[in-house]
Amino acid sequence: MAFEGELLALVPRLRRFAASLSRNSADGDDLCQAALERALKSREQWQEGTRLDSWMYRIMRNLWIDEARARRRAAQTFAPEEAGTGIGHAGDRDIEDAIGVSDVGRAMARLPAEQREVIALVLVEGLAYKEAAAVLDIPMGTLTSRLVRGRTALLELMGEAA
Amino acid sequence: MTAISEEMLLAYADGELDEVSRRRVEASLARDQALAARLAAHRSLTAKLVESYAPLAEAPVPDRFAALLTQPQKIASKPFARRPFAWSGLAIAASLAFGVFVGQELGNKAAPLSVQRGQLVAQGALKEALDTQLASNQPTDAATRIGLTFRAKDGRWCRSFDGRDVAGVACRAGTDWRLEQVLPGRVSQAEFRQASSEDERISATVEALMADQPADARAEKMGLDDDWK
Repeated sequence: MAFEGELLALVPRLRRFAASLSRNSADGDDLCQAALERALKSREQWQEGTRLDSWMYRIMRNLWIDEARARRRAAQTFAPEEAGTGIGHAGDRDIEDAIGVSDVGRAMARLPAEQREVIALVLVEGLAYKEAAAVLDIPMGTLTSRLVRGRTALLELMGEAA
Repeated sequence: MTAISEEMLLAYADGELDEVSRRRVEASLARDQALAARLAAHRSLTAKLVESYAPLAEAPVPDRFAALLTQPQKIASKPFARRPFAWSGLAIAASLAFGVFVGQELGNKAAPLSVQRGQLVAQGALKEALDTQLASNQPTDAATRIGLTFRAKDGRWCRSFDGRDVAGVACRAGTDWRLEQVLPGRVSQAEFRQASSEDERISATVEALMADQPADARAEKMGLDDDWK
């Protein structure tokens, strides 16, 4: 009974995390919905007393990776046609809403997934390194070096020295 | 002088260094202007990231999520469903989480929680306790006991608490205390596991949010005097 309530209390943070992974907040909300549905379905896999937020971040991140893979496959399949009509890759068209058009959103969207997810967890969600590494199931050293590369790239993309 | 690696500088910015390394970075920062400028650039980047995604975490929870999470309980029965503008998904979730009391009392001034702009915030005696009670100086029979007071990584003041009805962690949002975590309080212990500031779930939340160390009595008092800004 408490499970749904705790999930609902997490929704604002989950939407934020989803948006920072996705290209815009509409995609983010779709991701968020998918993650919540998955969580409800696999609730018996969550162990009472462990962090529900970490569990949810993990679910969401894995769904996002799957989705990104599927998109890449689709993009490869349809690439010739898209090139022909000059539309460009799907991501650019999605950049429309408030987050998408911001400098930050645009720069985030250009980061490799592995850098975007560490930035989203540590800088946007405020997780400790240890927690973020556990969510992503990567060693601390990998996390810290991705953080350095991701932030350096963001600073360059946003073109600011200070 | 030893060079400070970018990783170390960033770990410093993120509050992830131990005391010794922190002092080393601080000593270098005092001498090395280029290093200080890099730190400033990274801090400003973090602030921009936080700021651009914050609105989503502060926005009301869309109905689609509230519906998704309340549906399985088949709660959409009498009083809420008939008053579409009065019900909020969050209110229903809260009632799920805390049993009957919130369901009946949400919207009632005596309840410890209310929903403001889609956010669960403390009100009444709980808000009062969070606003004014010092952990370092609270009556042993206080209705709500303040656990730890600390600054979150984003700078907000946060406090863990446990009370009769609810326990959890709340962080300052304007003049409100927004609930980061809510667990059933002492009175619900027959049905749920008892939550207290020693509860590992609360400790985990505190650890996740906390920038540095819990405030000591002096820092706590200063926070209070400064209206938790």
